[in-house]
Amino acid sequence: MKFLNGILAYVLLEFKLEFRSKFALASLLMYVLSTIYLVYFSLEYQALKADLLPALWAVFFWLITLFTTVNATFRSFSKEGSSRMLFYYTLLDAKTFVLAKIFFNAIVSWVLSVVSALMFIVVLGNPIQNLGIFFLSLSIGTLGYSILFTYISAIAARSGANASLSVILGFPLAIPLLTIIVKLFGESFKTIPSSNFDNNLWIALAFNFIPMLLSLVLFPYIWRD
Amino acid sequence: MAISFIFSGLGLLAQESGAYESMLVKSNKMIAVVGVLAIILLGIAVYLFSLDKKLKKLEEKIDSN
Amino acid sequence: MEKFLKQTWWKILAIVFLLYALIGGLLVPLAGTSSGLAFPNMPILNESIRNLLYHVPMWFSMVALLLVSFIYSIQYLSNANSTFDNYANSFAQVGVFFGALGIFTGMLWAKSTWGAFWTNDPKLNGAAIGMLIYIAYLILRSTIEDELKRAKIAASYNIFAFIMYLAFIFVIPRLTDSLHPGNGGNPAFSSYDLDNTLRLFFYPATIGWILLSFWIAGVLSRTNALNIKIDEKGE
Repeated sequence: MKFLNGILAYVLLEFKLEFRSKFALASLLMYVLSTIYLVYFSLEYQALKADLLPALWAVFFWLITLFTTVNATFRSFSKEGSSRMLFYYTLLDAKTFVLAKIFFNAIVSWVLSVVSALMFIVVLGNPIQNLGIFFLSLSIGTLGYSILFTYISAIAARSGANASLSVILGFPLAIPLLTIIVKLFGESFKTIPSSNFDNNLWIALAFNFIPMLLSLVLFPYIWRD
Repeated sequence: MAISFIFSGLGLLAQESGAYESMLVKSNKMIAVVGVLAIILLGIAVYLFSLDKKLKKLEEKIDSN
Repeated sequence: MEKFLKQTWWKILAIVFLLYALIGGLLVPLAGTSSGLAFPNMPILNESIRNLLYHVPMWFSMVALLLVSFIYSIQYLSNANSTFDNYANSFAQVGVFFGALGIFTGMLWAKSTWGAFWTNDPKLNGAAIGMLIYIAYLILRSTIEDELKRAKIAASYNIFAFIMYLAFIFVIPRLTDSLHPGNGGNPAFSSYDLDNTLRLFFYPATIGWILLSFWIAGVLSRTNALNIKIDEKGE
């Protein structure tokens, strides 16, 4: 119970700090919106076949979500100065800290991905037929990205490099989840999911579970100095 | 796609390989290729052994002073 | 490990195995051209079946080297000894090198077999992603100045990445068909895996290449260890 309270307290603290500086969230939102507009323009002036559009929709959507998550998670580490890290270190243990970070980042990335999905619907049309699968795959995907990139961003931030290092470190590891999530997400464009939907769902969940377990075990080592 | 490619290539390649095969056996020059590759391999081995030796000397030198 | 890397017997064994696989692999005829000892003559592959003895051991060597690197990273986290970090680093570097050899030899073989240098094949993609991960690992190492911090952070990335990579290799072949043996209408690996003549050369070749790669990694790690020692003496 104390463990959960610690996580909750930290997540709330993060949000409070986040809303204190309105510019921070707004800049992430702007990042999403301008990228989507870029995609919209680059697609709009090509002679695209209509049957290609759903595939492009899904691929672009998940690529943009990937980049947004990388940015959001890296920012959440880089904004912590070393003095604030030391402060958390005395207050929280590593496992509480990493779980709280994951939840915070997952919430931010979920909200941003819903916003970008709405934007996509506005500018590119709405191929979504099955809302249940849409939200399910959206939640699993953003959670998986957040778990992976919370750990990777912690490494990148600790090594004192910029966000491009977390791209280099994280993208090869994100490929399996990206592949499976785009497949899963594509099922929401049909009314009846295909027969290997369950299979893909389990694989996607495994790619949430494995990095989660690994971060819990390994995070204490990168957390301490 | 891949499967159809494989089956279309199957008959063609089977015919060609017979002629190639008999040519290879007749010429008996493969032994020269094997010799060249063996020399390269042995050369790499000798070179690696000499690197090992150099390293050993350096390690002893560093440990002694 | 330190003792093992300085021993000679397994290096000689590596050379003997490699010579044996090289000579045998090139001189044993294909089935149908002579009686007695012969490699199976498979459709599409034909003569290039011999590549099995040279291309595939590159992957086995890469995986063996990365496994050693992974084990030393775990060792380092439980006991912060710079020797372990050195092994993890050196074996990963040589692993990337052997992975590159595997990719280039594979591309050449793929061009003659399947007609393209690069195909959407799980094994190819798995190999490419493995390379990306470990190049990223080496880049991560190069960005951190402080040795203790570098060793610790690199070790925790290595462990994370290796397990994710294993999971990936197991899962991705289930998503698509593979052009590699045993999938999607290709001659099954098992049909020539079970061929005793090939096996007679394939296993020694694999062991030989793995031992040779360990030898190279040993030379690299000993050089790095000397560098560390010189730095320590200089201070």
